[in-house]
Amino acid sequence: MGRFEDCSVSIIIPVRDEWALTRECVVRILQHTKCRQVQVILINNGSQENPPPFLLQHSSITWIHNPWNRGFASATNQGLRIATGDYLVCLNNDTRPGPHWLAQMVHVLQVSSQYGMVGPVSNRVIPEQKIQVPSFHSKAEIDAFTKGYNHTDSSKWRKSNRLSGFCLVLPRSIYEEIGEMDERYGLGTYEDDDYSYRVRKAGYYCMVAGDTYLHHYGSQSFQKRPYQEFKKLLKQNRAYFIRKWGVSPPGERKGE
Amino acid sequence: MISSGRRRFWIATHEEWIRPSLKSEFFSFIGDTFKNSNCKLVCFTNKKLKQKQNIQYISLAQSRRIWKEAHVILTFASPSISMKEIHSKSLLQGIPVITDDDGDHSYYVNHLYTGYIVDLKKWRENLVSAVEMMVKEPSVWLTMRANAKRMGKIYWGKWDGEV
Repeated sequence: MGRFEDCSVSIIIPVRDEWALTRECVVRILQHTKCRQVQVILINNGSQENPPPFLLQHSSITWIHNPWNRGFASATNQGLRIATGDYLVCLNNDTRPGPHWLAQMVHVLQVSSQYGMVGPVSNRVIPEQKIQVPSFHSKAEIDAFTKGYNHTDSSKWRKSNRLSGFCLVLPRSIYEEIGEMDERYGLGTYEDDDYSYRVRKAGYYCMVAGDTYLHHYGSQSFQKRPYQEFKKLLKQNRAYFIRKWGVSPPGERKGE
Repeated sequence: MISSGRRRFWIATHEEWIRPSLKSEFFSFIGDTFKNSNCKLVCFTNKKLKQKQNIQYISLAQSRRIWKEAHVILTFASPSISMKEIHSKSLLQGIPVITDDDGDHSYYVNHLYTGYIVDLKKWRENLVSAVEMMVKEPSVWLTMRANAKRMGKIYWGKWDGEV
């Protein structure tokens, strides 16, 4: 089993505006990802505002600029294609990584080659990955909670039917075997269910790293349109999943 | 009324793309909604119909040449009619599609990505939302156009490959 310190990782983050959140996310990644090589790939998905110079000029960041919003799966695929890391991370920009966040998830993948993909627990996420957290009144409180929570404990790991796309970690070999995300999910939603399903169909487990907390501010980019439009997106993509696989998205609960 | 400023915006449809049960109500609604706006509906038909202020009827013979210039294609066809060919051709041309979610109509169009899916129970307000969105936010329409072209190219001839 390789040490995390010797690994290289590629972290793929599609972004559409929200540069303050993105900056926060990237700074935290660089602060708390202690391995041989960290490649952060930012896909500027048709943002209206220009990225801040701090991000544009940072030597650890590889940029892809799309003149328009290509949707989550398509942007992620662009990042995956140029990723060079041993481990690939698909990450939302509205997250706040903390100590050991990635080392612990990579550790899960290193324990068994049957573990194909892993995701953390969080405050705003699907029920399989959700944990109760205190009300945070400041970033310092989020950080204190994350620091106290993130201690390696394999008894907290569990198999799951699906993982949320807000943070997916997988070895390069799994990506090469499973392939790219399905871009027919358009703007987004259910592409993560689809990918989880494909990973499991290929004989691997999707794992929840119950010992790793990643704070998620939550669905910022979809909040710009009325909720009914988002519901239509969900309905359409769910229907596509069912047409494609002949089953309901595994793990979904009534009312989801 | 949809306010469109100076930008002209026209929507193409075809007599067979509007289900019979909706036809008269649809054209009357569009006539009222587009009144005094820069939006226009062009309907391809061979029937001799009275031209209205913002609805233009054009013969089917001319449709082949003209439809590619439309900003959007609109289809509310009967659920039994497959829209696969129409929608995939439209996407390939980079023309977003407004359609409903009956039959296979929404299979080839992604909501807010390559077009707009109308909930038929609320078709009037949905239709206004769709057109307003595309007219008032040109970047939305341009994004749909770019994604339509890309998806049309990628999936041309293989829309049903995996499903």
